[in-house]
Formats: sequence, structure tokens, C-alpha cells
Amino acid sequence: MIVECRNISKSFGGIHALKNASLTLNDGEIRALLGGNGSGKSTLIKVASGLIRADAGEIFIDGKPAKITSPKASKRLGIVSTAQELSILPNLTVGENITLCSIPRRRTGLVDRGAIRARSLAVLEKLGIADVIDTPVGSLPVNKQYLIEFAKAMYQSFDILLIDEITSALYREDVAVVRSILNEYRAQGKIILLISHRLQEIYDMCDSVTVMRNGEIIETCDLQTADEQYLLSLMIGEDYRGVRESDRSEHAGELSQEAFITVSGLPIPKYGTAVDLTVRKGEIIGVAGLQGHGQSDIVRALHGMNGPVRITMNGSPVTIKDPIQAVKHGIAFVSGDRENEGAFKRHDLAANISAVCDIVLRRRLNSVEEALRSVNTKYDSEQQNITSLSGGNQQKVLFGRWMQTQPQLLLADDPSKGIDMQARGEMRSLLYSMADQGTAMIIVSSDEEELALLCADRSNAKVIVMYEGQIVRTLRGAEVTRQNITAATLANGGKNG
Amino acid sequence: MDRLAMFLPSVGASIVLIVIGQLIVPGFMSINNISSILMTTGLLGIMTIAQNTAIMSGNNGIDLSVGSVASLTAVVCPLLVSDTVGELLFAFLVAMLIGVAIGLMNSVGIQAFRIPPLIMTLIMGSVVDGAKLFVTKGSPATRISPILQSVSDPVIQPFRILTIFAVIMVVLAELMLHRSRFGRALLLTGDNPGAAAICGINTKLVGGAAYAISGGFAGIMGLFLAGYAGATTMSMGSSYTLLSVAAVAIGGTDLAGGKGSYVSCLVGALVLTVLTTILQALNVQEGVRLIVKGLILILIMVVNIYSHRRKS
Amino acid sequence: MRRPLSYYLRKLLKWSALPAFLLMAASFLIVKYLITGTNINASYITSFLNTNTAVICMSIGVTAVILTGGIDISLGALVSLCNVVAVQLMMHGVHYLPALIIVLLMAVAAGAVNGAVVSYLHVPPLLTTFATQTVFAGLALTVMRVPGGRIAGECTSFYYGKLFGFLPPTILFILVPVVIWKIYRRSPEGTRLYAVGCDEGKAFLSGINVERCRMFAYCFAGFCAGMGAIAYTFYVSAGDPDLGNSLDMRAISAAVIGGVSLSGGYGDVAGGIFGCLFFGMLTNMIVSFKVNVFTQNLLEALILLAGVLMAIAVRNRSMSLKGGLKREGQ
Repeated sequence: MIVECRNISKSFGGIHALKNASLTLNDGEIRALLGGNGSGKSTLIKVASGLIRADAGEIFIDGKPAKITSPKASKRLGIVSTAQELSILPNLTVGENITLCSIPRRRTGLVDRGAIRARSLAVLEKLGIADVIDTPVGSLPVNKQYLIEFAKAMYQSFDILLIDEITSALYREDVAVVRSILNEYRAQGKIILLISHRLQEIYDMCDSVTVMRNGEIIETCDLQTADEQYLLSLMIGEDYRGVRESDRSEHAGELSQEAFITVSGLPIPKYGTAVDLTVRKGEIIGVAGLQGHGQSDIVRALHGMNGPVRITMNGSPVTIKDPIQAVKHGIAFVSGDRENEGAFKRHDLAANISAVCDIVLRRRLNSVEEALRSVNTKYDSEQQNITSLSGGNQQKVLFGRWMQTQPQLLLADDPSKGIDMQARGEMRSLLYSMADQGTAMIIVSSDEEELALLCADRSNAKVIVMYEGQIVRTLRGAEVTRQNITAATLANGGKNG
Repeated sequence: MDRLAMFLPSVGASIVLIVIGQLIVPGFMSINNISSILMTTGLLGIMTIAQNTAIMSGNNGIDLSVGSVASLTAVVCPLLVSDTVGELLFAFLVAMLIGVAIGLMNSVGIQAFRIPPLIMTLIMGSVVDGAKLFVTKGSPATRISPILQSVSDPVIQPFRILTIFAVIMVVLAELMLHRSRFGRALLLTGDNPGAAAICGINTKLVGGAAYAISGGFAGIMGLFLAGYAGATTMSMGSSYTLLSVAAVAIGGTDLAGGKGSYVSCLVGALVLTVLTTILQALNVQEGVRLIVKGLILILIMVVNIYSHRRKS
Repeated sequence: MRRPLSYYLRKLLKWSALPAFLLMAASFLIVKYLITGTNINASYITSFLNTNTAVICMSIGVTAVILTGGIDISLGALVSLCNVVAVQLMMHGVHYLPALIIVLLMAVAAGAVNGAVVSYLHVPPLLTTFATQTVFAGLALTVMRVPGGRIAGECTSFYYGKLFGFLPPTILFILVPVVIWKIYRRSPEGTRLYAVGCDEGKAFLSGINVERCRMFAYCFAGFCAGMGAIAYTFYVSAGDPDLGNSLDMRAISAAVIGGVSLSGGYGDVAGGIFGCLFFGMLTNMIVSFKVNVFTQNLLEALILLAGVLMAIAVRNRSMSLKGGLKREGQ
């Protein structure tokens, strides 16, 4: 079987998400789809799975044009995909979720509950999580929810499997199970297309990789022969090493010795643990950990989003009851979830960038233009709607919104999620200059590479690693490498005492 | 540019309807008729200030109790006015406070108990209707003092006192929306409540205030309504709920919240008033009038939704 | 598999209709034992059901719509419309059987209009049914200007007779929608409807035809309104274009108290039925207080409000405990 995408193009408003993307997949192949934000890989998968209609171009299966008008149509053509944001439903049981796409029925036409249970148990057993069959979906941990999403795909009969970023939420053991199942599918002659940003996993699981950038397909490489640097250079479009050096600031930053903010006993509800933390002026603290191990709780709690929290600021006790008080005390919060926690989609750039200063702090911005330029936003007019900007530029505006408040403490929850390399580098420089001016910052990131770039070899930066609600490791200076961080996030790797 | 685009459909529709009116109904463009249309528009316009505020506050905002609130103040407040302007102003104050009190009850239900606005205001409307019947024992205020009725007196034809007040209120509301911190906070909260909360905006206060404002203007409108009609009946205000929602939709407000214009809603009110006037002049029976109103509302909704979907 | 008693107890506590059931039981006991002058015999039950069949049918229909995450406030006006159409048809010599079939078809068509506007024109359900409520009410007024008319004698005698010797025939009008719903719920499409109500986007991703599920819900609601209207027509033997006006609030509140979640995906029709029975007995209780009709009205509205507030507060709490992903009003 051969699947061909020919010249697929798709634009959203003014943004060209896909430009003449062409791709060929053969059976018995596990192909990775690699690229930064704005590369179009997610869009391509969405087109293939029927969620989005392409503006131009067609998909051919064995030479015949495939009419993919909806997810239902795509499934009928043998294409099954997993959703990056999970398509499982909390009001249905595990079994109902897994069999949702083709519910087994009895001869009377009614649902065959016995078959639902038996068949979904079979799938769950293959994944090694048969014990969750009776657990309510909403109370499952994130990694198991993703496994159920995968189980849902496994249950359907497919020729082509599209996996959109499933591995980032899975534990190492889960990834191993998924890998062996994918190998089975490959042996059966199925086609698998996998999106992941983790180069290591791509090398582990896949045979070949297609790199995309700015909506275009750049190159397809055999993973036996292409090395990491080469792939990265394809993704960025310039010499990788070059970018790395250019965003290092001249002054590595000096660290003041006195504590600026101390918090003790910050609760991590999911694990029932508590964390103590001290931040100094101008200090950059990166927070790493597997998804959902308490990192988000730290920054959210400090911004008053999880109820009242007591901290010591400059020696005096302060209670932060809610974000309103947090902002008044000079705390800022940049979220990675632009849609629900960041962008005001019906407002223009001026309103978005001045939101906090103008309304909450009552400090009118001197110049919106200056504010927008200070974060290097690419825009045409202050009055244009924020949704007309690309994701990376939108995030820069949101960043600028908080920079304008001249915060004493900057908190961030995965701020560079979905942002391309270029923009990430620019944001790093902004963080360095803010730190130089005395802003303390706690940056949570699920991207260990990013944390390493941010915090390595600087006297005012460190990375703390969370595991199951506790800080298990602190890395400084030359210790801060992607490998060390990753190792520390796991229970058995690294030096966890 | 974008703000201007919001006006175009309603302005266009008004012009078309006025032309149709002139063709179908003799004497349509007479000064008296225009004056009357403008006054009714003003009346509806005050109601749209209420409704627009509730809808713009987001969270599937809507206020289905505005008609009931207006009916309540229409039957109760005229009792406070006998013959002085002072009493008149006092009556308006009381009407506003009654409306604000009911609006605050809506706010409590919506913000504290997290009841969807449509259910909360729908039920509140029933409660207010019940309270109105209870308080008046079924008989509304019998006499509307002349000074209250003078709101329909002309100042400079075709503009009457009510019309001018309505326009002033709408303009002030529009200025408040864009110039005041509260107005801007309201729009941000309606646009993205999660982001607004993180920015440090007190979304509960803002959202709650929106319904208090809505109730207040509905209350004021009720007293104007009594003065305009010269007499009171039990459910005077009820038809204005639907009309206010329609006017807000014609005015191009995003029904999901976060974007809208009071002035544009006033033009929307004009469209509806002209339409209703034409229907009345054609002497269609009540049933047919209702059918036409309902169909037009659907049409307005579809256009409104379509235009907002195209933008995203 | 043997399960401990605590398992069944926990399942009972999680039953979404439990509060409504308890309220109904409590009000029943109060009416039976505390209110003097009520004799709960067969004729009491029959007349109680006769008065309440229309609103019970409406609440069954509106539950289905709310389960998809929508709402329908046009059912009351639809009941009025069906009522006057049935009466007018019969008065103009149409035999009752085809007349009633026409009315039912019209009711389903009306529901289909609602469903189509919501699904294909993307107008929010509240605003859609707000508009269609006006249209249906207008149509009802056009069909019959003032209350009056009469219906075929066979209908009246059927309705006031007995089924199988002891059952009030009005039960039929409630049972038919309930049976249809139960069958639907247990079919694959029923599971899909719940999926749509919980999260439309995720349901779409799973290959579900979201529009089809919605259309069923609204058409079914129309059918329920039609059944309730026919029952009411038989009951009063006349037509009234304004009859359904106040029933919407009751039906929706009953459904909400019955445990259905306004954001969709949770709940069932049983709760709504219990809610209606509770309200019915509540009315009887209030009437027996012998206060004037305006106080009665106000009391009812206040209790409605209190009931809904409580039901939603309880719902929010249980959702956050379950770790559910949505809350009312979000």
C-alpha cells in the first residue's frame, strides 16, 4: 500500500500552515514527522484524519484519490488517528471510550455490553493496564488517559495510523509498550506516522523521518544515516550551533545572596506533598519533571490560582489569596495555554499587550508600539486582531504583556510550548535581560532541551526537578544538560536519594 | 474599521425598512410617525443597554429577566410620582435600585452558585413576575401622573424627552465601555475569563456588576415605559426581553461575549422598531405578528453568528 | 460476580436522580400524612397524573435536548400549537386518528426545525428556541384566536376510562416516550448522544455524526411535546392557544432538579419525571395552605429557584469530586 500526499496547502486567515506539502508513505513503515512550531506537522495530520479540509492538494491511497471530508470518512478509508488533546470522554466508561468508534451491538440492535468489556479488556491487556477497566476516566492519571487514547486507536481496524504527540505524556515503560505494539503493526504491513518532538524516541521507534519547517516538507531521511545535528539544522534552517551561541548574553548574571521570596509547605495536592522554595532577586529557576508531577502546581499556587498561599517577600509575610493579589505584589504569570489563559481573541494587539498594566495596575503604557517591539513582534498595525498573528508571535505579545508590568517575580507554565526555535531564542534573551534587571523567575517547562539552553552555565540559574510532588534534584552550572535533567525526572535514573 | 463594520448591517437594514415602510404605509414618513418611532426606539434602546451588558460579560451571558423587571417597576414605581420633578427623579432612582437588587440576585446565582445565566435569569424572571403579582395583588397602579407621562412630550420635533434621554444614556454607556477601566475589564472578561483572571481582573466582580447594571437599566426602562404608555398592564415589559436580544444581535454584538457596541445596538433597536411599526400599520393579527417576529429573530441570529464565525 | 453491599450503596449515592427521587418521596409523604383532607386513592392519582402529564412529557423531551448540551424553551408553545391544531382538525370533521397522527408529525417537524437551526445554522439553542417559541405561539394564535372548541367524544371517553381495568390511560402518553428513550439509550446511537453532550469536539473526532444525534434529541423533544399536548387535549376537551406558556419553566427546572447537567452528557429522564411529580405535589401542598393565588405563585417560583440552585450546587460538587472535566456554567 502506498499513501501519497500531493501538494497539500492550507491557510488559516493569513497564516500559511501548509505549503505544497508532498509526502509518500509505504506499508510496513514507521515514519516520524518532525518539526518546530509552525512547521505544519499537526496540520498535515489533521488534514489526513479529516478534521480540517485542505485548500489545495489531494491524498491518494494506492493511486486512488481519497475523499477525506470528516473523521468518519477518514476512518472509513482506513485512517485512524490519536488526538493530541485526547478524545476520550469522562462521562463514559473506559470500555465505552475504547469502543466508541464502532460500538458492538447485539442482534436486537442494542449495545452489547459484554462485548464492550471483553474486547476492551483484550486491548488493555496488550497495553498492560487491564486493571483500569472499571476506573472512572476522569480520575485516571494523564499517562493512562493517553494509553486509553491509544487503545481506542488500537481497537479500530486501520491501514494507516497517525499518532499526534502521544509520547510526551507517557512514562518510559508505557513508551516501551507502545513501541513494541507499533513494531507489530509494522510487521503486519501497516503504515504509521508519528509526531514527536523527542529526538531520542524518534530514533528508538521509527525507521525514517520527514522534517517540516514553515509549512513545507524539507526532507525525508533514513534514521540510520541522519544524525541529530543534521535533523536539527533541517528543522531550524540555519546552523544549529550558531543559534546556540548567539543567544548567550554577555553577562552571565550575578546572583544576590539574600532571599527575595521564600515559601514553605507549598502543597502539591495530587501527591499530598509539600514543597519549600527560595528565590533570589535575578535568579532563574527552571522546573523540570514528567508531566503532572507538581511543577505546574508550584507556579500556579504562587500566582494565587490554587487558593491562598503564604509566602515571605523581602522578609515580611505576605498572603496571596488570588491572582488579583499576586499581580498587585508584582507577580506575573505566563501560561502556555494561549487559548484559555492567554490571548483575548476578540481584542487587538494594543488591548492584549496592555491588559494587565492598563486595567489592573492602572499604569498606561507609554507606547504600545514600543511594547510590541520590545518583544520583537512581527505585526502590521496595533489595531490588528491578535489572532491574525502566528502562534509564536501571539506568545510574544502575551510575554510582552507581563514584561510591561515590570514584575518582581515571573512565573511561567510551559511558555514556549508550541513556539518555534527562533521565537524561543528571542524569549530566552528577554528572560536574561529581565533577570539582569532583578526579576526573579520560575519557569516550568516540559521541554528539557529548552531548560538546558536556558539555565546551563549561568551563575544565576538552576534547574530543579520534580518527581511525584517532590524536588528530587537541583542542577547548576555545568551539570545542567538535557541528559541530566531527563535522567533526574525518572525515578530510577540519575542520583535520586 | 472593524467597529464601523458592525454598524453597517443595522444601518443598511434601517434604510431598507424605512423605504419599504414609506411604500407600504401611507404617511409613514410624517413627522409624527418618525417622532413616535424614535421614541419607541429610545425605549427599546434603554433595554438594549441592559441586555448588551449582560451578553458582553461572556460566560454565555444573557438576561431573560429584563422584561419582568421592567414590568415590575412599571406597575409599582408610578405610585411614587404625584406632581413634582423631585418625586419623578426619586421614582427613577427607586426603579433603578429595584432593578439593581434583582440584578444582584442574578449575579449571586451566576457567580457564586455557577448557574448558567440563561437558567438563572429565566427563573428569576418568573420569581419577579410572582413577586409583582404578590405585591400588587393583581391590580397595577391605577393612575400615571402627568409629570411621568411628560416623557413623551416633544422637545424639538421629531425628538421627544424620552428619545433624548435614551440617546444620552446610550452614548454615555458607550463611552464608559471604552474609556473606563470597568468597561475594558468587562470586555476582556467576556472575551476570555480564564486569561482575565490570570491578569488580575476580578472576574466575579465584573461579571456580577454586569447583571446589576442590566437590572438597573431594565428597572429604569420600566418606569419610562409606564410614562410612555400612560397606563399600566401586568405584563407590559415582557415582549421587550425578546426584542432586546434581537436588537443586540442586530447590533453585531458577539453573542459569546467580549465584543459589542451600545450605539450599534441602538441602531438595531431602530431596525426592530421600524419593522414592528410596519407590521402594526398593516393591521396583521397578533398571531401573524408573533410569527414574523420569531422568523426575523432567527434570521438576525443566523446573520450575526455567521458574521462572527467568518472572522475566526 | 458477588459484590459487597457497599458497592451498591455507592452506586445508589451516585445516581443522578436520587435527590429528585427523595424530594418526590418526601413531598408524597407530606401530602399523604400531613395535609388533611387528601385521600390518596386511585381517583386522586388519576387526576394528579391527568393534570401533570403534559409537563412530564415536556420534561422527558427537554432532558434529551439538555443531554446534548442544548436547551429547548419552545416546547410549551409547541404544546399549545399541537393542542389547537388537534381541536381545529377534529372540529372540521377530520377523524380523530388521522388528526392525532398529523399533530404528532407536526410536532416532530417542529422539533426538526429547532434541531436544524441549531445544528446546521449554528444558532445557539437558547436563542433558536426563544425565536421558535414565538413562532409556535404565533401559529397557535393564528389557528385558534381564543380558547374553545371541542374534540371527538371517543377521545374523551377513552381518556376518562380505564386501561386494563385499573390504569389511567394518561400513563400511556408518558410510557411511550419513556420506552422509546430507553430503547434509544441502550442503542449505540444513545451512547453517541451522551458523547456529543459531554464534548462535541471529541465526539466528532471519534467519527460520530454530531448533527444526527442533535436532530434526534430535538425531534424527540417535539414528539414528547406532541404526546403531552394530545393528553392535555383529551383532558380538557378543548383548545387554548396560551396553555403551554408557564410549563417550560417547570419542565426545565424538573429536569435540572432531576440531575441532568446543563452542560450536557450527564443525567437521565427518570430524574425529570420525579422532579415533575415533586412539583405537582408541591403545588397541591401550597394550594392547601389557603393563601391567595398570588402568594401561591410566588412561593412556587421561589421553591423552583431554590430547588434548581441546590441541584446545580450538588452537581458541581459531585463533578469536582469525580474529577470530571466540566462544571455548570463553563
